[in-house]
Formats: sequence, structure tokens, C-alpha cells
Amino acid sequence: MSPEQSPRHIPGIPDVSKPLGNLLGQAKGPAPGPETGERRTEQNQAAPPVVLEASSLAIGWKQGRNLQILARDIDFRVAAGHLIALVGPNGAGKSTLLRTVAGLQAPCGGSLTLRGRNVALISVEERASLLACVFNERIEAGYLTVWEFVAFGRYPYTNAHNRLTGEDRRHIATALALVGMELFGERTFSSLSDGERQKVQIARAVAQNTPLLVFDEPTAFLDAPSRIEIFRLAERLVQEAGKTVLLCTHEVDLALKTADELWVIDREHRFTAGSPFVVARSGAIGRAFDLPTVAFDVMSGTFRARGPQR
Amino acid sequence: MSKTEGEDHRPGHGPQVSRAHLIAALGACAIILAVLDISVGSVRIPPAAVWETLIGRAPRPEWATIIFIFRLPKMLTAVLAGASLSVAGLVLQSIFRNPLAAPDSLGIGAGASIGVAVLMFAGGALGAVGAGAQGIGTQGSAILGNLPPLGYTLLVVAASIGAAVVLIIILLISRKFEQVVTVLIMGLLVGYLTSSIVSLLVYFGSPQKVQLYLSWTYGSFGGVRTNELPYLAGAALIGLALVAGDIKALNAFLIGERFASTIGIRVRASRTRLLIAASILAGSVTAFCGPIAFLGIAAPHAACLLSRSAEHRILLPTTALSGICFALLADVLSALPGSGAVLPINPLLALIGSPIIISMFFHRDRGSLAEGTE
Repeated sequence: MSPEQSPRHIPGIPDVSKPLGNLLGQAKGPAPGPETGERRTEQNQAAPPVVLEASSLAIGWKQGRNLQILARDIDFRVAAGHLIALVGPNGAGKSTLLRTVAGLQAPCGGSLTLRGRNVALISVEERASLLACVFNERIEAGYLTVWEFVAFGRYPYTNAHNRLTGEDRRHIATALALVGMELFGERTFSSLSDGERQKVQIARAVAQNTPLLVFDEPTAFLDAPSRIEIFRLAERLVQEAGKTVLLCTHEVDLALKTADELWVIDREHRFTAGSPFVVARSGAIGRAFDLPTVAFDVMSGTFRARGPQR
Repeated sequence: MSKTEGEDHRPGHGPQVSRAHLIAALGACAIILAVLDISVGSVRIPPAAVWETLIGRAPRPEWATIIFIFRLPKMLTAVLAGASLSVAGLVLQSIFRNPLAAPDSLGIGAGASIGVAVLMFAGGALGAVGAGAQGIGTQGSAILGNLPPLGYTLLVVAASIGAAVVLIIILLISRKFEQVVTVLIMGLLVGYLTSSIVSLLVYFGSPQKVQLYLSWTYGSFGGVRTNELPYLAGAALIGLALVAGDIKALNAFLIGERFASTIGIRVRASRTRLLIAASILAGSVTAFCGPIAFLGIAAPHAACLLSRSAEHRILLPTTALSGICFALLADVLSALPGSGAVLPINPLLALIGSPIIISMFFHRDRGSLAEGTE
């Protein structure tokens, strides 16, 4: 079933000029779509600035003096105004890559630059004004309100006493409105459903007013409509707010349909990047996920059980 | 859940006015209790007379002596201890994201105890020196004042050294380990370690020394003399100033450390500053007043239940004022028997404080805000 192609490395830089067509049906190719097409023409006229760039990046942990490298030879270049989805099986290193990009974990080798500057050398304070993250963790916030939670996004900008200016309040209100939660400001965070919490978390990241947003499995624990809603929201953040979004997810089909670029880390920790269409065609998704019993079907863009066809 | 503002979640973001009212009410409560605290004792002084004496028009000169030499320092000690211990508890509960974290869970109280225990049980020679050099503690203190061979100052020094040693160990641990839970567990283990040494010392100590040590563990606000108050006040001010400077970090720590670092908080530096602040606050009070564990764990809960806030700009003053009220209330009740007998602070605090806080939890679930105050 799955296309057994050679495990060739696909160059990390999406080639937007090449006419690719949409053979996959659902996978997002660079050409079609009125909004995206328009955006891309703009980008072709003036090349969008590179937000994030990695070359020969190695990720992993330091254990004492030893480096425990999880994945190496990671190369990518993220241009402004793109939605990048990172997929891969559990344990492949998705979260490690995101944490490394977020500066929470030092790279084990190679270079990683955020707006042309070495991520490891950017101060905590400045980094908070360049990228905002939503990590997938349970938040127990007691009496904290939604408004107060989104106000955390203004922390890089407020003074030591955390006094909000009019501009801070405007950013908070805009971010809440963007995710459709403007009526929830007075509610306590803990009274929200999982889907609402996720939207409020995203609003908090938006309020941080950074060019780059990093979401770690934003659709985990959500029901199907909420998952689609979150992906739609990520798309709008790119299209309407001009953000660059990097998210990792288990929703391969949604990622194929929504993302401008797909990154895959497979079980052998090899990194592949490209337009969803190209990556899917290359068999990289199948290599990353396929089990003896389950295989990725390139034509439908979904996973199917292997075995005798009925 | 409806999208409109329902009635049951309004308290989460109560209007700022009501919180200002709450702080004002707690402040008024603290002032009334402070006057009452000066008024009660073996000699009852009417509250009006207390006020007149304080503004320099003492109706009776002997009342002025009692007030300025014994009762005022005792009241101020209770205020400082209440504010310091409760804020230390708030800080630790927030950075460890654990409602059961308290100065004790970092072993700070145990550290002070081991200092005192070593001095009392192992340091016979030191004790003699202390007696010669320092004489006996304050007359105002029924408990500490009766420590025959020990200088009160020596006691304070021993407790401070004990608390400081534990603090340094905890700080070294917290630098080494990223995970805050690890620090908490290590703190608990260091606490167990020190208290086991204390219990060994107690086990082999002579009955008189055990009696002395136990009397220290009951806690007292009456041992601090006027000339020692500046040290306690200075420690409290330094600690509170450090905490006030890290309000944002405290708010963010309540969500998580990784979260804090993504919104521009220098996690380790803030955590170290806050741990130092909590240790100064808790260590200084333990050194001067004995191990008063209850305030550190109870006052932050009371403040949280009263203010219904997770914003430390509100929680910090509410907690400090709640702690002051608890400490003063316990001190007033400790002097109630009159006739010179003084009840120990520690059992009293838990005796009156626990039911108050338990009832507050019940009130919270009924959704009423005002009833929990008194």
C-alpha cells in the first residue's frame, strides 16, 4: 500500500515558485486557494524575511557531561507568514525540537537562529518578545480569570509591578476577540472547557505580540470539531494577523490540509521538510508512522489498516 | 456554561473596589486586635488608656512602663512574625505550586530547631558562657524568660545559624535541579534529617534540658526586647521587599516554571531570590519566636479564600494582614487567663486558626464572600 520510495532527504526550503499542482487532492499545495495565492504573490514580489533558520541542528539533552542526541542534521528555513506543522510518532523528538526552538533547551550542535540571531544567545526577556509558546500542560489556576491569564502575554512589556497600560489592555482585548473568547474575560480559567482553555492559551500567546508562535500539540484532549477549530485559528493567525506559526500535532490529515509546510521526524529521528504535497508524495509520512498493521494512504491523506481488502 | 456572565463565576474577577475594601477591613481588624493585644495581660489596661498612653498622655505612669517595655514590643513582634511567616508561606506555596508547602517543608524551621537543640543539649559549655554573658531573656516572656542557663541572644544566633545552614543546602539543591518538585522533596528530606537529629538529641538529653527545648518549641512573641526589634523588623522589611519585587514571577510560577520562562521571567534567578526571601522571613521569626508553623500554611489559604484572587499584588497584602490578624488574635487569647499565666502560642494558633479556615472553605463552596472574614 504505502509507497516504498528511497528515504531521500527533502530539502527544507519550500520552493514556492515551482508549479506543483494538487495531485493529492487534499494536501495543501502552494498554488490553489484564493487567500493563500494572494499572500504568496505578495511574498514573491518582496521575499518575506526569514524568521527561523536551522542548519545541521542537533537536538537532545545534556546528561551530566554527556550529550544525548535525539535527532541531527536538521535543516530548515521558515519565512514569515507561514504555518508549519510538525508531525511524527511519539518519541521521535517533536517536543524536543519545539523546546529547542523556544530556547528552553540548548541545541546540541549546529546552528539555530531566530531573526538571524543565535537563539541560545538571546536573553530570556528579549526572547519573550520574539516568540510566544503554548505548551501542552495542565494548568491549575484557582481563581485566575481569563483576562488575567491573557494578561500574562503582556509580562514582557509591563513594569515590575505589572501595571497594565492602555496599550496592554488593547492587546489583551484584541487577542481575546481574535480567538472568539471576548465574552469570557471575567470567567475563571479553571471553569473553561478544554477547547476554550486552548483558545485562551492561544490568545495569551497572541497578546505577547511576537512574530513567531510555537504551539505544542494544541489539539490534544480536544474533540473533533474543536481540533478543526484550532487549526482554522492557526490558519487565521497566519493569514489575518501575519504571524508565523510552528505547531506540532498528531493530526496528520489536518496538518496536510492546513499547513503551508510540513515537517516530519520519523522513528529513526530523521527530519524531512517541504510542502505537504511533496512530503506526502515522498513517502516520508509513511516512513515515519507506518506500522505492520497500519499504513498512510497518500491518495486519501489518512491512515488505513493494512490487510486483506474487503 | 453560558457565554454571558453567570452569577457563580463573578467572584473570580471581583471588582477592584471590593478588594480594596477587603484590605481595608483586614487592616482595621489588625489595628483593633493590636490595641486589644496591648490591653490584655496580667494587668488589664482599658483600650482607651492604651491609646492615650501611645500618644503620650498616659493616665498612669506604671501603665506606660508596662506598655512601652513589655506589651508594645510583644505586639510589634506578633505583627512582624505574622506578616513574615504568612508571606514566606505564600511565596513557597506559589513557587512550589503546592498548597501544602510552608516554611517547614523546606526544613527552615527544622534548621532553626537543630541550632537550638545543639546549643541546648550538646553545648553545655556554651550554655554556661551564654548565661554569664547574656543573663536571662526578657521578663515579659513566660517561656523563654525562664531558660536559666541560656542567653536569649545565643538562642537567636543558634537558631539563625541552623536556619541559614539548611537554607544554603536548599539553595545549592535548587541550583542543581531544574524541577521544582525535586527541590520540595529534597527540602522535606533535609527537614526529616534535621528533625531526626533533634529527636536523637532530645532522646539522650537530660529531663531539664528536654523541658527547656520543648518550651522553646511552643513559640512566644514575648521574648523579643525593644533593642532586638530592629533586627526582626529589618529582616521582615528585606524579605518583604524582595518578595514585592518579584510579584510577576510569583504570578507566573503559579502556572508553571516553563510557562514563566516563555514570558520573559528568569526562572532560576527569581526562584533563588524568592527562596532567600522566604528563608530570611521564616528563619528570623523562628529564631526570635520559636517554630511557629501554622501561620505559614494557614494565612495564605485564608487570604486566597477571602480575596478570591490569583494575583499576588492582591494576595501579598491580604496574606500579610491575615497573618498579622491570626498572630495578634492568638497573642490576645494567650494572655486571656489573666493573673500572669500565659498560654503557649503554637497550640493556640492552630486551635483557633484551623476551625476558622475550615469554615472559610465551607463558605467558599456556598459562594459567599463576606461571612468568612471573622
